[in-house]
Amino acid sequence: MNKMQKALRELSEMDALAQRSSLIHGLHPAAKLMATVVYIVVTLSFNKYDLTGLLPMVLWPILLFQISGIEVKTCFYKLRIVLPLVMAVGLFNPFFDRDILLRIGTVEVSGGVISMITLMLKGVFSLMASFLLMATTPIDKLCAALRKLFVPKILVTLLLLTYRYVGVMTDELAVMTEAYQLRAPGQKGIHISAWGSFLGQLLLRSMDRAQELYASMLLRGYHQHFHYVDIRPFGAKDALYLFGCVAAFLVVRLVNIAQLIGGMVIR
Amino acid sequence: MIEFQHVSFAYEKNRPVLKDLSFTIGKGEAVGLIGANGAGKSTVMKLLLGLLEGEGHVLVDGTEVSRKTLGEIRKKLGFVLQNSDNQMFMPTVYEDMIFGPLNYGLSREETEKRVDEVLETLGIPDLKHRYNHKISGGEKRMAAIATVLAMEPEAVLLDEPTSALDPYNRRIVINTIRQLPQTKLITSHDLDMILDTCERVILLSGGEIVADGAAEEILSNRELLEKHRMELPLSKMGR
Amino acid sequence: MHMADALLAPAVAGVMYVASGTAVGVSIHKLKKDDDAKKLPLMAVSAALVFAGQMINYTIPGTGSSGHMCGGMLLSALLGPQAGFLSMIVILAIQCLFFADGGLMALGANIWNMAFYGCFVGYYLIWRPIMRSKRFGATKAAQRVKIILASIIGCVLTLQLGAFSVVLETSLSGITELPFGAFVALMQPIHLAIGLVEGLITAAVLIFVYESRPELVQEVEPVEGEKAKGTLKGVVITIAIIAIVVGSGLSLLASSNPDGLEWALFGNAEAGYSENMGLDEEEFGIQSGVADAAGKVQETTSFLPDYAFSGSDSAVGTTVSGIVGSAIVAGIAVLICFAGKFFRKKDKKEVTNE
Repeated sequence: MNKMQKALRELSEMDALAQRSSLIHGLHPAAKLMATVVYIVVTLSFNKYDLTGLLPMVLWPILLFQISGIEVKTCFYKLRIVLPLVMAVGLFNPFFDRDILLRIGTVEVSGGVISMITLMLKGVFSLMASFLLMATTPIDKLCAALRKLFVPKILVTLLLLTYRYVGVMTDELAVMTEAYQLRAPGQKGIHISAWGSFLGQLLLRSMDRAQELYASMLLRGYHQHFHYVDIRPFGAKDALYLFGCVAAFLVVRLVNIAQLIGGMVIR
Repeated sequence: MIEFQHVSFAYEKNRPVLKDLSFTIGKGEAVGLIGANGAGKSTVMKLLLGLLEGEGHVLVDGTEVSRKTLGEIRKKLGFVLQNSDNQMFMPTVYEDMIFGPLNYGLSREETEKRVDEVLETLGIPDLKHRYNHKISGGEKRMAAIATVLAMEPEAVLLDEPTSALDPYNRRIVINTIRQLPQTKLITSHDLDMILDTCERVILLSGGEIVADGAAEEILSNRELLEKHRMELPLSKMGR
Repeated sequence: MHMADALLAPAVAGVMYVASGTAVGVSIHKLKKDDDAKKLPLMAVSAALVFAGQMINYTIPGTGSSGHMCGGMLLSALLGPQAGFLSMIVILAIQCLFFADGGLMALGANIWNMAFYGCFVGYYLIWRPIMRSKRFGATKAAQRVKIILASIIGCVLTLQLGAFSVVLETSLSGITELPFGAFVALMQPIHLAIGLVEGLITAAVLIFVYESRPELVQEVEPVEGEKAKGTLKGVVITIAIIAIVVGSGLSLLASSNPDGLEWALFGNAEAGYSENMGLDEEEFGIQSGVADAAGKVQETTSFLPDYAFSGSDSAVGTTVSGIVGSAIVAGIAVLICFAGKFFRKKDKKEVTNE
């Protein structure tokens, strides 16, 4: 399987997840989107040494995974992109920040190590949050919600159209790549002599496709106006979810839950 | 219903694609437009839909196709593209189906009703909320026909409706086409399908009409067909 | 160059959202004024094409490694800066939403770093002036040279700007302890190479398009007739430019002169980073140099004797309760998982019972 086919499979897996039904899937997409954004903002706002404060933030995604019935492991595949990047940056911290912040028995942990772990957790948490959003919300509903949240129409429409053609184009390139590899065994990529024509050929075909697509839109009465799926109005349930989430995030942000519980147990 | 009066067209000067074309298609007729590659079949379709402008007059229901009447004309004509991927530009089948009706000012409820009716008639209600990029070629073609029917056109134009379909799906599409009560204009190289779905055939060659008559007659005329780079349909070949 | 959420402080992410949002507003206004909304299908198909095109591995001759294309310059050369910008945004959004490449909060920054520079700076500062320049004459060969020049300079410049912004945003967010200068010295040279390759790929694609359908490329005058030759001249000039850019890049690297430790670090992180650029998961497992280095780092920092006496007694109390509390939080998390499993099983049973 080549890269494009892998991407296609990933895309269709996300679609399949979003098509399931659960309590979370049934919530208003705007409520989910806003809760996710607030979650990520709160997560990012923790101090780089505040590891214990940050830790309870893990409960929300875990709760969501359980309620929505989405397997946690489906998300970890996606970590392969975020984690190395975050690590590449975070790795320097232990070298430059060597003040000891924590001592467990005889083992001492420097501030750099703490901040590196915090950074990685932030990366994992925010990834889980946006993954959960997309795994419980189909793209068409998300777009309808984006419109309701005043994202410009042209951008939302473009997102919808592009999403549709990402599948088509990726598929075509996957086939082209396969055909290329069959005639060029042992080559890892596209040889320099075909750098321009490989994508260029498809580009030219795509331009014709765009024209036909535009014709197809015109024939169905397109006049600069797109219709989105009709999503149900924002209900009490959605409001409750949103405010519940935001309140919980704020409490976790303002009170060090782990410290608090730990303190109670020890005393 | 559809009338071409002395229509000519050229993409480049001195290289005409259509030369002085005239024909009429009555209401409820099913006409097959056949001809070799480059004979001008697609150009006829595009002129009819107002995607191209040529010389002469093209009339739909007595109204001339022109810039002013485009909206009115296109509302009456449903065009099923050869490549369903180009026809279905929204993520799901449902969204594609509501696109046309809503653009022509139908209310949400009416549109909803129509979508369900059309899917029911075509026997594909389970496709409604499927993703366009995840349905099979045959399903995609049926869905494309559904998006066009949802606009309740008076005439349906189909460009190679059976291309790249397996025999099973091809048969489904043929049966569907046969059941459509609308005026039909079908271009195809699948002459057996034309024979199954159309009572009349127009044979184009070099931008001119070389034959126009009963499908049964023209499609059994080996000499005529072979002269214009065509071949007898399999069912007429016999042994 | 996709930044992850974790690399940004909320304030920085917000500022970048505002900056990118403003550019979006201006672009949409311009598109509407020019009635370019009918470009929409073209934009969508091109964006989808570039999205897929980013996954192509281009073999770099003589190195055995492969390059990739990001596409900002390509899109703006085909669609114009505003339409290209919006198309890039949509690509970044899809990558962020469906592939976890980038992040929801980092999207604003990513748009700025990759789409804004590539489309606006690359177009108005490089592409248009070069394509309009009369210095090269009006032959087809001259057009080709101009396309090559503009693509390479454009890509190199915009990637340098993008890389610098990544450094700036990360540093302002207080995420990394890496000194600003060292970070810059790390990022800029890597992106010099990436930019060069991207420039060459972009040039190759644009020249191909120009040869077949010149009207598709922005700001070129189609030259009638005349078969194109002048590739040799183009290549010579290209090589000259590469030499200059590489030279200046190397001197930049040399002047920053990081110490031995940093050099060693760069070795590891650089490999990881450049592989990450290409999204090459096959070549980049967690088992790679970065992960190994992480293990070593933890070892050294935890057990080095020099630092044995710096913790204070008063902190121990809070530390212990923090650890105990964290363990309890972890316990709750596990509990939630079990509860979820339990309820789902029950549901299934009920269904089967019916």
